[in-house]
Amino acid sequence: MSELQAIQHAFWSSVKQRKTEPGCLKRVREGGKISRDQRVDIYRTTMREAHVRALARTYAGCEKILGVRYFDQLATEFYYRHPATHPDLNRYGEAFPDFVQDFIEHRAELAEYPYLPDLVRLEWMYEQAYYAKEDPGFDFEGLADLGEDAWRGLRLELGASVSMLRSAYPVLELWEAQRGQEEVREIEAIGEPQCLCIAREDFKPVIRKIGHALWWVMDRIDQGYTFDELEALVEQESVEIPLQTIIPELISRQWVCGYRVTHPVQGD
Amino acid sequence: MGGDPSPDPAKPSTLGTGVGLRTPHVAQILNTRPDLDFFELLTDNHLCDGGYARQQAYLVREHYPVSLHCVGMSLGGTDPLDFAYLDKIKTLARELEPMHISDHLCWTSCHSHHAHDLLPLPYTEEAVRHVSRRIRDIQDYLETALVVENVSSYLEFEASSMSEWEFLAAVAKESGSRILLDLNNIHVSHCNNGADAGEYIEHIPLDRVAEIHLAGFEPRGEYLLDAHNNKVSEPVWALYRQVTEKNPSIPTLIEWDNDLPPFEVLLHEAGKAKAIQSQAVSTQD
Repeated sequence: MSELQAIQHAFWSSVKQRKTEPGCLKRVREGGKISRDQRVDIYRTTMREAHVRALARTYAGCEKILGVRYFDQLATEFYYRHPATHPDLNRYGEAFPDFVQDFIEHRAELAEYPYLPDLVRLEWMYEQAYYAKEDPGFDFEGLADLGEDAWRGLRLELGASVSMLRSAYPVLELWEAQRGQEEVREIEAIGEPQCLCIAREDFKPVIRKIGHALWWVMDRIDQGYTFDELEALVEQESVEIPLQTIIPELISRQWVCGYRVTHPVQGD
Repeated sequence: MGGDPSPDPAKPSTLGTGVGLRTPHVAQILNTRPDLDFFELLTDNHLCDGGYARQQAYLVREHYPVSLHCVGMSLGGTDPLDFAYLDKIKTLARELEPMHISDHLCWTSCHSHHAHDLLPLPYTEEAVRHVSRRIRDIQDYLETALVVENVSSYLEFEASSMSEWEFLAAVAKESGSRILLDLNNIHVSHCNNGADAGEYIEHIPLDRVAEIHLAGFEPRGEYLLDAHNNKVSEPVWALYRQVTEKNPSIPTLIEWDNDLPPFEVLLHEAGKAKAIQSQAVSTQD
């Protein structure tokens, strides 16, 4: 290991933990008004703050509900357990919803927020929709060229910005309230789960409530079912899903943006 | 794209002063087309695959020259170079044709994890060779000379055998890169570590300086934090006067990232820089 590498590894170990290791400290020059330990701690603090600020930007609703101080503690804990693996800070925090879910299940003081993991998931989906890649338009000509025989084996593809969420709580209303100035009221589970589609429209992510049938089809498309398999599933599960109208609707809303051919097309 | 601003008629002949492009200001910039010579884009904010964050870079480029300022190349890092990241920069640069591409003289990742902060290097011969080799590799890949910025620092390593300005000049010379001289960073490091800011300016090879950064710091008790959340301080304006007396034609940028003020405040700061440039030119004439 080179001297440069040794310095960096020792420094990294210290700033990624809560205290400075002696192996790092002895490499730092002494002098001035602040101690060597304080000097390393400045980096430890600015690194942590950069990550916590990024989480607070993405999960602003969660921060509002828990309060800045508690959120800061939660985000700090997350930061120490989940180092950033991507150079883009906007991509930091994908695992935060699962982390919050785990916290809710194990911390008595959070028992009154059972809806929080769903809100946090929605916030992540919204943020990622903003940065998602552009979709090419649906290739109708290519579809026509395939011929109707091939259509049954097609796997439809959701747009890059599209994601779905189903929640036992009125999570959209909660999300909207957090973005406004409304006070948080007690949130209770609703009888019928709320189904949401998050997608970018004209550069802006939009969250829409969708019916159960639409959610059911999008969820199966996301799982990779072919059109044939979707039809079989509708019959098997005896569900009222009008595929013939839902699929065109998904394409016209640009929530379905492409397809893959899975069955070889029969040649002449 | 290249190390020097091209004589493209779409670009002004002298790239006097610019400001860092920040999303909350984009609509106003596009609507009012302020009298600025260029904008600097925080490249990493525009490397996403789509959406408005990427689109705004193209919209602004339609009206202004731009430079690309990166934070994630980890020029001094000991992890392998991230060519997926560099590829995204190369693609963006191909489309925007920036004045130049810059990053910082520091390291930002270790063990494949990212600091999202600018970490300090020891100023040693070994580090000069290491950083220069990586910069050359990056320049070969991006097919352009890189512009390398001095960072604010809060400590120095025992291993350092030269001053920061000697290190920066040596890296620029050995790698063939140019320098982005951040005067606020020099002042912050001067106050935190005791290096002589005046000597720094006296010795840095200004003919290699492609751009100057001016920004504000935040006093944090016994040290200064390079917070980019304030107006340019008087000691930094003094350093700027010292530089422009020697070379008044270096493109100069106002950087402001946190606690973002109305755009007019940035315009006013850029106007101050331009006035100092003009004063220096008239004195030389």
